[in-house]
Amino acid sequence: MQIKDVRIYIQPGALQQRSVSHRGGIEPVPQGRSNMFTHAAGFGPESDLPEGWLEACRDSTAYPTFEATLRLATDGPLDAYASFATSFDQGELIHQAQQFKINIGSLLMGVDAFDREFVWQRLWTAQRFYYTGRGTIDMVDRMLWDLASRHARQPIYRLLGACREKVPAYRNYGGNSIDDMVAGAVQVKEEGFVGAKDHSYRGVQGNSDLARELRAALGDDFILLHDPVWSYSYDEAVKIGRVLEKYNYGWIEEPLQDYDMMGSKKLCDTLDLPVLGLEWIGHLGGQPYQTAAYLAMQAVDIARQRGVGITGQIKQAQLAEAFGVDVHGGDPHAILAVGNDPLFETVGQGPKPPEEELDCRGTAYVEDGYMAIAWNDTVPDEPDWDQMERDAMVVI
Amino acid sequence: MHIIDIQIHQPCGLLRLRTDTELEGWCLGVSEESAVSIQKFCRDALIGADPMERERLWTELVRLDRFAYLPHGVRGYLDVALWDLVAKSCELPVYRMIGGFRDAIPAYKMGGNLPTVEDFVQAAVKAKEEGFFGYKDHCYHGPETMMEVARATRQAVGPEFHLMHDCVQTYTYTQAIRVGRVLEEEDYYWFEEPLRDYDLMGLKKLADALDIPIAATEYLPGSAFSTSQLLAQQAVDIVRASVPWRGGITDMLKIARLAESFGVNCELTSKGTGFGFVHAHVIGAIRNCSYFEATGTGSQGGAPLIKNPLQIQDGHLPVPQGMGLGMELDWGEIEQQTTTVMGA
Repeated sequence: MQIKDVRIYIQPGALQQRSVSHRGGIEPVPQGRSNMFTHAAGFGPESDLPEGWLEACRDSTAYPTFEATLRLATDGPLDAYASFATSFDQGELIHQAQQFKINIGSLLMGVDAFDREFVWQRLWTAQRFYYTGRGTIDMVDRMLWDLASRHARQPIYRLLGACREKVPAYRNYGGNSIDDMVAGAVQVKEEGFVGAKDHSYRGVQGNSDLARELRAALGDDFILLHDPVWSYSYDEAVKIGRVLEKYNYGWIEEPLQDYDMMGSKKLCDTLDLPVLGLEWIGHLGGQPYQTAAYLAMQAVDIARQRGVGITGQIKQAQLAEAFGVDVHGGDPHAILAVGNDPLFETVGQGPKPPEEELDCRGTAYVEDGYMAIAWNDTVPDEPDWDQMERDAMVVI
Repeated sequence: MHIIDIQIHQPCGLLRLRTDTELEGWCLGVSEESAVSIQKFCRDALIGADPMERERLWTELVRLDRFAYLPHGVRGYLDVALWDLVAKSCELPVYRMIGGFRDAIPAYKMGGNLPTVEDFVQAAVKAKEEGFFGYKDHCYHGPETMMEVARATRQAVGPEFHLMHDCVQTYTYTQAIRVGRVLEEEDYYWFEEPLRDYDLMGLKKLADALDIPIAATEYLPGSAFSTSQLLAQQAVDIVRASVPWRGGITDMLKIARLAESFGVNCELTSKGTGFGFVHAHVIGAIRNCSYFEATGTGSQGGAPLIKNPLQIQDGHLPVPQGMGLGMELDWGEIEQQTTTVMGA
């Protein structure tokens, strides 16, 4: 099934407010030596900006948007397609589409839609030369896996070689005070999750208090995870690590910057508590290649899964597996296809959808503390491309 | 679709995963010893299983490897048949089921331990004339002879042709250094298995000392789990692997992706199980392998059991395009070469 054309359709989208959300001020982490800063959402202190300063640049007007759909047309019965981008600026979107078609689309022409490894490798090189970052490969790889899934009438995780039908799930929680945090975690437990993860930047003292209160409130069997997002110095990370070991935490996540490879290595050597890292390295597109060096150095105990596309996530998981190391995160399909991604981070998944809403792509859902993918062998109808050709404002 | 039986034809060595549909998965080349182990230890894991759950079954077979003391290769045979089956059910060749990288693979020719220096030279010259991109010797005559072979062969084939030396673990460290320096002078492409695969420290020292890439791990047990340790130590420059010695297609992919993450090539050795079909599909789905290892031009064997043996054409091996592994079997011939069918 060869890719015969690359077409991008630009259509009007819904009216949308163009507001910018405020994630809280960047504030110092309290009571420590790190002098690190973090964003303050979740525990304060309140911003001391002049009154009305933030509001002055908020805009409640609804503006028109433009939506672009990318289609890799093949000579077979199925095309690969995905939402390409949404923009407030039609001209900018057209330019972005042209850029994609010329730089990346030209590399896809004539390629077999099942030659995913070839595409992944070719675009891996292309991202370097065109400075596209990981997003382009991620999008195209997922489109080709989606096509394979519709071709085989089965979800991607089964094409990859299903390893499990479901995996235990936890959920993140927050709060402005330790009491709020504890109440939040109790709520997570009541919802049936097997564990809960904080993003708490209270420094060693504050987070030690939090850990003690959480363990007391939640009992011995509930999984607790601490994610301080780069807010400790090395010696603080050791201190909090010892406290978390005492309260039987599952892991500490990104205690130091990913760039601090030697610090991470020393911390992994020192603590019994598993140290999870590499989310940022992964975000920058460094997986699986940079992960290899961390694993060889034993500078990470659990590797964040931010592999590029489904193809890259399998590379990342299998690399870690060879070192006896777990990965965490990633696409639900990749998670169910490997044996070393034991805990699911719930981000927006709902309960199992009704049968009539399912198809062969499968829908990830979370129910009774587990993530699973529900599917049947219905192949979704192809979009009406003729109508799309007629209706589009612009066809690239 | 579920697996309902594992049938193994002996002595021709055809394994058939039978299902509750018309589809079946094949692996050709199963030894009698392995066949007995498969029937004795692996049936429980596979009978009734959904073949799409390859990774779960692989994990179970890795566990059995240790607990049932399975002979080398058992997991490989079953894993190959699973891949053949699921790719057929998805109406794809195996390499495109994995995610294709190429549909033709450049080939080099390998030769045996020939009697004289001149024989080695002539073998390499012939391989070049036949259109191969390289020639790999298996010279076990010791360092002095090999250094002569290297010099004379390079002289005869000219600068563009790839030469590889495989001494199959027959050197001491000191001998390996001496030979390696000459191979560097003669611009060899790689130096294979100079020391035992178990000699991690020796391999590391050699890989550090020599510029020429050291290829090893062909016979290393432990799949990707042990390969990772050598890569982390930078004890090998090229990883070697094959089905069934180091596992199945699943193992090859794990080993190749691991090596890729370290910027290292995974060169598949020999034709392996299934007269090259299996390796053709694996190499068809990975970037970091430069060659298919062939024994000669034309058919790569398997006839008359296989009606469509692989053919080397213009120095390349075309990846089979049929569904699954793409092997067409001659059932009359299989019947003739079958005295027993082990199974339910």
